[in-house]
Amino acid sequence: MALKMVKGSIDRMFDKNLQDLVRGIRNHKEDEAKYISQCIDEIKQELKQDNIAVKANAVCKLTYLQMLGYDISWAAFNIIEVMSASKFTFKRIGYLAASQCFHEGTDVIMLTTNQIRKDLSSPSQYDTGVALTGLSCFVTPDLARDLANDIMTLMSHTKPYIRKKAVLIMYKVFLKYPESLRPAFPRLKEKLEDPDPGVQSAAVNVICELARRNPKNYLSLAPLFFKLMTSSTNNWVLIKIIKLFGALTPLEPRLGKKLIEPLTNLIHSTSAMSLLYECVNTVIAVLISLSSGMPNHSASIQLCVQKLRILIEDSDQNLKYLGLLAMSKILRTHPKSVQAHKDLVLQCLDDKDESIRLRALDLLYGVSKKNLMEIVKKLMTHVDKAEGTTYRDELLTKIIDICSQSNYQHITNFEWYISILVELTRLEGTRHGHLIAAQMLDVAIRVKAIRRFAVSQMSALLDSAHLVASSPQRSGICEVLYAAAWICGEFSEHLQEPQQTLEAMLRPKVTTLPGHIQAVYVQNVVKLYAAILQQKEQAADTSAAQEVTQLLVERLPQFVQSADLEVQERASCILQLVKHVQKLQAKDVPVAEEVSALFAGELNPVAPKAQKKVPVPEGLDLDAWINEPLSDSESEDEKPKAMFQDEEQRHTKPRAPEADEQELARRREARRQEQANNPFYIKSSPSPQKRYQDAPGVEHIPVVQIDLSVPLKVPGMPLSDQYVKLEEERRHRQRLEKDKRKKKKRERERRGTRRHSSLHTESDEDIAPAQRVDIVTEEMPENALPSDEDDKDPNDPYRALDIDLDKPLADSEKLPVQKHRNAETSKSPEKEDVPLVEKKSKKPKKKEKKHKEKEREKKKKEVEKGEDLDFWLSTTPPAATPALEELEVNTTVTVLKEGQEEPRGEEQDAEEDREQDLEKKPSKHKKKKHKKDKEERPKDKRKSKKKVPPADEEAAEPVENGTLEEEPLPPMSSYILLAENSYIKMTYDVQGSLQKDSQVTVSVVLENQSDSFLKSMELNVLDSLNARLARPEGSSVHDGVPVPFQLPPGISNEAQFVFTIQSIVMAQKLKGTLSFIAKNDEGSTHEKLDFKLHFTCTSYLVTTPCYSDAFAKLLESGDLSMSSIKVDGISMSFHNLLAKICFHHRFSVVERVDSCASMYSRSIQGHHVCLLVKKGEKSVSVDGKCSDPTLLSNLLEEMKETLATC
Amino acid sequence: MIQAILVFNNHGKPRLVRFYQRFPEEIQQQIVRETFHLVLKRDDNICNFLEGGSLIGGSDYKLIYRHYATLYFVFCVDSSESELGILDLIQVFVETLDKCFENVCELDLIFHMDKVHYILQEVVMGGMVLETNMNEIVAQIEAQNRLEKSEITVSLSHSRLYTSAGWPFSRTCPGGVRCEEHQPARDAPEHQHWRSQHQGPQPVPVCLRVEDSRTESLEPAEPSQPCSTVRSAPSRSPASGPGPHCPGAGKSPVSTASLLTCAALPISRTRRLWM
Repeated sequence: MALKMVKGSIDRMFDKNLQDLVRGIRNHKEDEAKYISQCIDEIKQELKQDNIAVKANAVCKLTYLQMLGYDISWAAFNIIEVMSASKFTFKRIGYLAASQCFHEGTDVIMLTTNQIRKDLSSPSQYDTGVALTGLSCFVTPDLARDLANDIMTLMSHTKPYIRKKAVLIMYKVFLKYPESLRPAFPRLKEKLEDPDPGVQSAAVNVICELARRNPKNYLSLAPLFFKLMTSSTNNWVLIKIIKLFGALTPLEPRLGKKLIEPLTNLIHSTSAMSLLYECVNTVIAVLISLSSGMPNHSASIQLCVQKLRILIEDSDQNLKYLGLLAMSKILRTHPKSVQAHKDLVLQCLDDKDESIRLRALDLLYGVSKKNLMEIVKKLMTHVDKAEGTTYRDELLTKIIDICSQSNYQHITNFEWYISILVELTRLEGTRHGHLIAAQMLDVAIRVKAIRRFAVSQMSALLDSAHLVASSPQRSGICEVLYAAAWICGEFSEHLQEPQQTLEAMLRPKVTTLPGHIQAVYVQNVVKLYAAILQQKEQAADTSAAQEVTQLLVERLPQFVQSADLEVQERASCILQLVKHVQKLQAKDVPVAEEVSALFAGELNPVAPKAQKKVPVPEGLDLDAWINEPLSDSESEDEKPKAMFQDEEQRHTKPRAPEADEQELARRREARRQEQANNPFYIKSSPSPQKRYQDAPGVEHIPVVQIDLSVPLKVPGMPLSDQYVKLEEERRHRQRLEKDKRKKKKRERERRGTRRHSSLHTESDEDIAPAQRVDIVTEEMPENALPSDEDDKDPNDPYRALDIDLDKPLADSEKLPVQKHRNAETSKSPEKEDVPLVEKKSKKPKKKEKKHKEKEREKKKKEVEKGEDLDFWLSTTPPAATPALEELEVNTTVTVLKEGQEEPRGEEQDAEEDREQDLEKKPSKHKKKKHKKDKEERPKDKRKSKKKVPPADEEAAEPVENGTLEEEPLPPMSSYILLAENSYIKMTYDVQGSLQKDSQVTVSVVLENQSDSFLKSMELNVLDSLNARLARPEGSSVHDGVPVPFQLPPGISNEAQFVFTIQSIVMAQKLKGTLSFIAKNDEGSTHEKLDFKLHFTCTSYLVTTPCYSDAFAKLLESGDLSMSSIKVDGISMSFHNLLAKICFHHRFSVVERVDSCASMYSRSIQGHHVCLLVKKGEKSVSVDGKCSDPTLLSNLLEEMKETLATC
Repeated sequence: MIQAILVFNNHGKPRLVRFYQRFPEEIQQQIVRETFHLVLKRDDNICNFLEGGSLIGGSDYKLIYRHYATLYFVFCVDSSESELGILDLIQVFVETLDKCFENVCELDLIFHMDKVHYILQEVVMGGMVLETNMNEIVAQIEAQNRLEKSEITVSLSHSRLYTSAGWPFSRTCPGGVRCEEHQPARDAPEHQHWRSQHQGPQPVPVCLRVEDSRTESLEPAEPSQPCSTVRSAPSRSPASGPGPHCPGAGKSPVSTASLLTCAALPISRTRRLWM
């Protein structure tokens, strides 16, 4: 054995460590792969050795190789071996490797469960920490289920280092094992008020992550978060909370109203840019949620915009970027405020940073009728300047987006838009040809008035060769021809010179275009042909008609030869048709009617989702088989293949040429009727265009006449500029006209008709469009179903966490506790489900359903809960005093509060929501009852009870914002040092209860400060006449009381002892001893620690709320004796001072007026203690009244000591 | 949530890869490469946010990065994180590294990847920010180092393996052997000084430095680094032959450039927010 050891160390001398490996790789640049594979072989050898140090070294090297992209999952088992090493050094290496390469698919991962559980409960906090860290990276549903309970216990660990890690990892556990959320949630909520800022921040972090996914379940936490927000000074926490509120406000607009004020204050006060930015963001979210009817919030908007402007103008590119980002959110609801900063946005368009330019582009959505042309013009110049194609493409899409947004709302002149689109076709190498094409089609179809113009432009496009020239290479842009050909064909009646266009479309060069475009060409050639035929026949020009036919017969064969099936098929079909027509023509039969009948019928745009929204007729089961399916083998090779090129079907949809005019009219009428009655039909808003059209006397408004006889040369001067100029003139004229009308109106008004008293400024609505345009809305099928679920992803992992958290826990929901294996397998059937991944994934959903059912049952409870929030929300902005209640773990915080005008104390259930309402609503008495009832429950359960009087109390008058000046309270702990030596440290706290008038409970926290294991601890005191320790029955006064636990190194725990007290008017001390056995490697020793247990008079007091009227009666009754003290040299603020008295001496504030407060408390034997605390300059005077003078004087003495330290 | 933390150098060599979401190794490498190409294109004086796109998670994710001397620190985060907050977090992380390694430079990350991971584990856990207070982070790391050290002294085997691990952050002698005689130099104000002490009698550190400058100069020539020519390595010393290169004579190798003092960012942008 010894030999083996020696051999092991010798071997190791020659092993490479991580540094050697790195160096080796760097030295083998040329044959890195070879070198590494050689190293991996060595590592495999090392892993086979017994020495754990060698293994750990090997695993460490593997971790490095993993970073370089090598799969190390083959070593998973060895990694687990290293994880289970007893030494932290090796354990850490193992966990690191595991966190890098373990995942749900790693099969050996289930072997780790017990090891991890052992590490989690390890006495060394770093073993626990490293296990938590590792687990956070590779937690699986199984691990989560098995370890949830252990981790939950760690959430109350004495070390904040462990607590914060345990809290954070809970989020991962929830994700993998959603059932754990409800049992763990109360504790998580508790951690929001953990004394350690790190733990608090972790809890906020977790709840924010949870709430971000399912915000509605966390609305009830809003009051708590609100309190944190007004009290916390940690910017990280604040940012998280503020972000969370941003997610909550859309669900509860009233919350937004409450938030505006504190957020505005933060915006004004904070110096941290990140916090400022998040505040602005949330204010924006709030404003969006209340977007309508909040005129008084324009100030907030102004503030936001103004702050954002500062960000955008900052030289820091990051701030600039974020400023623009936030600005774009404001844009959605308050475009006007953003437009005021158009200069800034346009300036950012010139920024050298592409991200910033893109962000600035976003802001351009905020265009209006007024500035659209101007902005697009500016963008067009950028398009010309732009160097990279990506940015240019981005510009192009932006131009199209801003023009087409909300149904072309901002376009007043569609001719201008068409010419912009035509100009954009000059862009070479753009990927967005199809986008331009789609726009052309859309506009031409939906804006009837523009068709003539569009057709002329399109025919020009078809004519000009530049698009066809090198089409296949410059891919994208030739897509435009698709639209051009279709528009010219479909609306051929508007063509000036159809024959010329026809010839252009039949040029041999066309065959170089992509197949789908050629197909459209072929189809539309016939449409053109039909139009020409009709024209010629009407003119009785038979020879010309025959010429055209001849042209087709000659040219069509070039398409028949096409390699593209679609083109070929259409071409040959049409060729036959034309040949047939030719025959008829030869016989002098008029054919035009029939040929055009092929393309008769009106075209209606259909909404993209129309098909999806067709309701399923009753009695039709889409999932039922029509024929029973055949066996799999047959259908295998018959998978539907794409036979034809993927095309946009939209424009080639079959029409119904057989429907005659009457039928069409009838249908149209019927449809209009239906649409009017159909709530889901998106009716075209009475747009100005429409009004314009309907209004009588439209003819008077000058419509721009464009001389279309002037041939439009696309590559020439940008035509759109002309429109800009024309548009300006037109508007000017309009304005003049309007002024005239206004004058008239005013005269009319003077005569007494006050119908319209609105003042006309030039707003968007006043700019009348140049064309008589009718933007046809897209059609929807009859009875279209509203489909909100369109965008819900069924695979969303966060859906499982959509769990109601307010319901009480059912027994079945308890977390699985560590049990012996046999018991576990027999008891939980889930264990057997493990391999069935599918089943697993369904589980949460089932659970969810169950919750839903329960929800209904517990409606009553729910309503009550809702009331709390409602109440909180319904109130005016609170004057909540910020207070950090930093408490020891395991304490219940009972917050109470006083209102002055409607005096009443109220205790709120600490478990439910520890939030403090500072409202004085008379409607609360009823609810109070409920709460009192509820309160009893958790109180009894509580191990250590401590009531903390309100650290914050309310000034009599409604305070607004004044609250911010009060600094947060320093952390306070009521635990006092009892005794300490090198082994152990004891702190204690004494608590009484009103129910037991002669008993107090002493909670002693024992902390092991040594490396030894402490056991057999026993506590004994020398009883006095007045006070004695309650010992187990049958034991004598000299026996000690055993401490019910043992203490591993570094661990602390709390033990409770009950004392019986006779008289409580005097303080007293009890001598005592703690004996224990300390065991370490060297052996075990008996140790003793003496202490003096001090029962102060304060420790007999119990925080009790008091109504101010009862308080007044008590003082008036006259059976209280009085005493007073005065302490000088106090610099602490009155607020903190009161909090201190409340905390350390267990008083509650009855009322507070300026720097004067009355306080109340009660002893366990029912003595009333009333105080009047007055703060003067640097001094505090306390006048006390109590039913027992001795008690009072002792209390005041103790208080004097406390105050002296202030 | 933070999805991934990547640290790579100006040539795209990964120095730390930490994903909080499972990706196979090949995909991880691909993500590192793509991220590198995205980040490389950007000047130092433009904003530090990149909309993630196709890499991880889709449109909800952003890349937030900072460039320090020779290293890029890239965090891939979703919208629940504050952008400026993460920028500051990167700063905290680097400052912590600086404290732990004493004037941290790329070499420290190259040779002590495991330690960098341990430090990171105290800052971010499972994709969530664990601690932002640098003193607290450093305290925990030091406590763990002490624990590890105590285990090693207890351990009977004084293998060079573990004593040379370099904890607690006395810079290991790059030769891989812990130079006991230079241990006090840990407290020496001038780090460079004790490094240079090695140059005379012990050839090892000299070798290392040569090796370093050579690596840096070799890397651009690699075919796998198509973009490396775009950003020329600041000290591309001519590919030195076997002859030792005196480190004092040439420019100091890139990878020894102190991350914080040579940070490419202007001071104003290293501001901290939670102070």
